Amino acid sequence: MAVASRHASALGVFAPETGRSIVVVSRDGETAVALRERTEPSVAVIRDVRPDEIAAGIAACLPFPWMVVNDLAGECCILERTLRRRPVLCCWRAPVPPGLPRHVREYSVFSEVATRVEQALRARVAGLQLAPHDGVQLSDGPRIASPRLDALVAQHPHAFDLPRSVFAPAARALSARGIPARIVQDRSRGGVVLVGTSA
Amino acid sequence: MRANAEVLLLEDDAETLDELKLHFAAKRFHPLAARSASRALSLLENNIQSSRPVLAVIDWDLSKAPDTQCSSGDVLARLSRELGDCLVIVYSANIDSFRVRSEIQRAHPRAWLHDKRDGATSLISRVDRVLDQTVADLRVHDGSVVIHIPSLDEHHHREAVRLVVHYPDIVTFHSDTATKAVRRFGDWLVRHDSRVRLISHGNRKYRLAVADEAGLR
Repeated sequence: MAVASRHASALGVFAPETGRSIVVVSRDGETAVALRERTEPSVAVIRDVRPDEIAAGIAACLPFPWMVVNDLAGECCILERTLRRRPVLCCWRAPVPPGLPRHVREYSVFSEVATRVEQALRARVAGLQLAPHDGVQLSDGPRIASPRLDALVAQHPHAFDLPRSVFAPAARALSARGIPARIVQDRSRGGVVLVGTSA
Repeated sequence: MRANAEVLLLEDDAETLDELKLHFAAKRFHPLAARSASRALSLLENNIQSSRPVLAVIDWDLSKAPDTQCSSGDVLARLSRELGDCLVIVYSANIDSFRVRSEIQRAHPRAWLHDKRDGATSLISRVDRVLDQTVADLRVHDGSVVIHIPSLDEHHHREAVRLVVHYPDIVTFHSDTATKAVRRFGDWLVRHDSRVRLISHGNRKYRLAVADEAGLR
């Protein structure tokens, strides 16, 4: 039987790539395999990483992961730092440790993760939906390559518990294309959301 | 200009490898065939400047290989890192094991999996389904030629095939020769008044879009 590549760092899962990536952290890969069976690679790539490979897995996602699924209970400094600086969707094995941003979702069983991924990939707001591979598109318009817009659309109707300034490039992309949507701080939803502005 | 698409075949059983080679040669592919992972890596190394396979068909279990210096995982990792525009199908008799799946997908996160226990015929049918794509008024025939369905005109170039089988994904091309071929394919689409258009994303990145879906007309 073939063995895994002898040089873990050479594995394709650590190949730097733009495009929508879901980093799945687990000790045995089972959650990643199950998620891969439900997710077309043309829509999002599953990066199946072990606890000691988290930094390499995240660094390979250019510019940052679209989603992180952490199948390990307890704290993780590397993930926490990423989640505090970048708009990354996140599912965390319950219980979520204190101190993480409020947009981190807790899960107990795999079906909750699968549902979350499916909802995020199908999300629509202000006429925007996720494009294949990465970015967003209007239903009858061109693709807009903006990882932050990609995150905001996928997170809809929920908010990111991050400063609004994190989304400045996405706001510029909306404005440049005249898309009737705004990025706003919505306290009732606990953070930053994308909303449509047309009547 | 014609350029047959290449396919990388890695299979340790000589008889099955011959069967696969014959199948792809009959479809006008140029097969790069290897019984060991190290041979497959040399074939990739030797061809990477001049050509890049459109498809790789990889046997995960190489216990009958003439040498075991490298594993199928090494080949998959190389394909993932350096030939991201190559479609990859991996087959194994142990494909039901999540550990095997995890190892394969860590080596190549975009690889398609196939159960070896279903036999070579099933594998060949799967490959044909992956390759014989239809996009609006274009169809890939036998994995090696793009046909404009209304006129039945043919475009023979591996880079055109690569774009169609990857639709709607963006494909990065790695040489001036390849990008020239892609632009010629774009001109061919316009000349044939195809509903499919070539979209450039800069830095040798291209994709196909269907005109009336993308608001291009």
